[in-house]
Amino acid sequence: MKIPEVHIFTMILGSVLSMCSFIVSMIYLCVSFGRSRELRNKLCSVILTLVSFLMTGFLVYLNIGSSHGENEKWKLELGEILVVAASLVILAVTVIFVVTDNRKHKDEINNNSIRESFDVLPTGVGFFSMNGMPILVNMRMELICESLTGAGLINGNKFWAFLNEDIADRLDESFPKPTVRLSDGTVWYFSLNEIETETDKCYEMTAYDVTALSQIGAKLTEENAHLEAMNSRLKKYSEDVSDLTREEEILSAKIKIHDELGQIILATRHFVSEGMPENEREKLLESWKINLSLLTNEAEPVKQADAKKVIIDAGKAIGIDIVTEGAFPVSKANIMHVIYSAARECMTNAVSHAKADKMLIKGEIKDGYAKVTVTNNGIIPESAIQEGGGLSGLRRSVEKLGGLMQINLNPEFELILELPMEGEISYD
Amino acid sequence: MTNVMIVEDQSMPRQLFEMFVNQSEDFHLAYSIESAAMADLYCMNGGVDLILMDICTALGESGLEAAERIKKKYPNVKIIIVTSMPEFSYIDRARKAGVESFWYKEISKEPILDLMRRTVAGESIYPDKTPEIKIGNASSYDFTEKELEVLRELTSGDSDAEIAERLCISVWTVRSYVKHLLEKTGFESRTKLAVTARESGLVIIGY
Repeated sequence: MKIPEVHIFTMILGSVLSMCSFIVSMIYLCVSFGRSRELRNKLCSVILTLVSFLMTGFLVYLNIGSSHGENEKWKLELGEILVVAASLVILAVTVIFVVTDNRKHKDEINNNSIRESFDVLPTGVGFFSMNGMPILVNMRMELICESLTGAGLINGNKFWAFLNEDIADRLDESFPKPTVRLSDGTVWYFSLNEIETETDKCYEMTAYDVTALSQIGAKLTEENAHLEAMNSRLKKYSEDVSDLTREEEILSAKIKIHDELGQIILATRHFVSEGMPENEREKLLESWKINLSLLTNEAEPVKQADAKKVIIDAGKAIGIDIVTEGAFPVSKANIMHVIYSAARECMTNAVSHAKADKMLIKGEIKDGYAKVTVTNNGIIPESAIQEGGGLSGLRRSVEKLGGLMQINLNPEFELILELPMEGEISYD
Repeated sequence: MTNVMIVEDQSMPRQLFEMFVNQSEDFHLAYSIESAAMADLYCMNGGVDLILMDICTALGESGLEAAERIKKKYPNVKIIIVTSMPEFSYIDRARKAGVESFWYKEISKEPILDLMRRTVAGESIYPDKTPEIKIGNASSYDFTEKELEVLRELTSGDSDAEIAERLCISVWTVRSYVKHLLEKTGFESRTKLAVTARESGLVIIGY
């Protein structure tokens, strides 16, 4: 007897459903094994695949042995319904399992997610074994290596050597080495660290994007150069301003004297025409004397102070003849300040203790140093000199400038200063 | 008779002081020199009783430093600081050095002689305050002491780092003070600020 059409439809439907669940579970099986999913997921996919396979096989068997008698009609229909329902359930379970597992997979962190995030880091990172073999290198580092070498990163040690030696023309000197400028204008600073894992050691190479810093640095360098130029001009102004201010004061004084002279002339005219009391005449005469004297001085050229003459004149005042020889750096105010201190100290001690009446101060400028030697014809101390407030203060001043001070007593008293100088020097 | 030493680099005021002293009956001119470099040596033999000491003297030597040395070695020698510079720190420094009197220079006879007589008599005469100076939109009285210190260092032309090291403060503090000074004066650049301050004599570095 032939199977009625409804039976055929039911059987076909059941077969299709179980076939679909078999296909879905097979695909998921492959995916779960291919993407290293958890063991539980793999087992579930195996079970679903087996069940759907068996169901499919069972339905095929039913299709083949489907010619039964009239009295088994109801049994077959119940069985068919159960089979179709079971196929449907298996398919639904398979689909739900695949969907939820996939959704869960996307929310979980696993090896792939670590790799993905590693690759999108803005910093270049690479881990290498001690012999330079790459363990894990992210996309950024690969791109940087390719930009610099034209090839992928095959060996970390060789790449590091390349960064340090072979690309001198692309190094950015404003940063520590190795900092490299790529052809796209970005600037990268590299560092290499040795790290220890649980089982071994490896190298971690990192490339930091310092493009923005480099641009700011370049701008700062330019502005600093501009400021240094301004500072140099200000320093020069500071050196000259005392003279300029002095000239202004002298001019102001001259103007005042000329104004007073005008008043004196008027007063004199009044005296000549109408007379004046005695005391007022004395005052008028005094004013004439003062202003004429000042005007006389006005006609004379202003002389620059002479350092040697200042020292010699002071010596005369205290009864010691000072002789100066050689050259002194008169344009270096800080050096001359120390030399004046030394001259004062030596002259005081020469007169007070050594009873000297002659002193020689020799100056020498050589190899960027000013050397000053002071000797006298006085009594030589019998023992080493205990440096009091004056000499110890002098020593501090000398050492502050980076110089040396030496006192010798054999064969005569000798104080020697050696003072370093910078920049251009004027001699006297 | 009081023996006077004049320490003044400018010939005109020096000559004026010489005339005042020579024309007076109670003062004798012992020495007249242009630099404070060796001023203390002149006091060695007791030949000086009173000094008229300028601050900005020849060869770049400071009269205030010389005054300090002299007061330590020869405390009986009286000193009158004479200056035309309104530098804010001079009065305090003179007091600390033990200087007896302080006088802002004028070319007139009676005030300086009167001051000299009062100083020899034992008085100590100081101005109440430094002269007021206009710097841009600000008065010199508008600045704090620290701002004036930084302003003085600014006139050297050195970098902020060098200024910070000298004043023992941080670079950021220096920049903060400079910013306040620019805001108070209305100047747009620190160079203009430094030049104006120096020209006015409000701050003088090196003396």
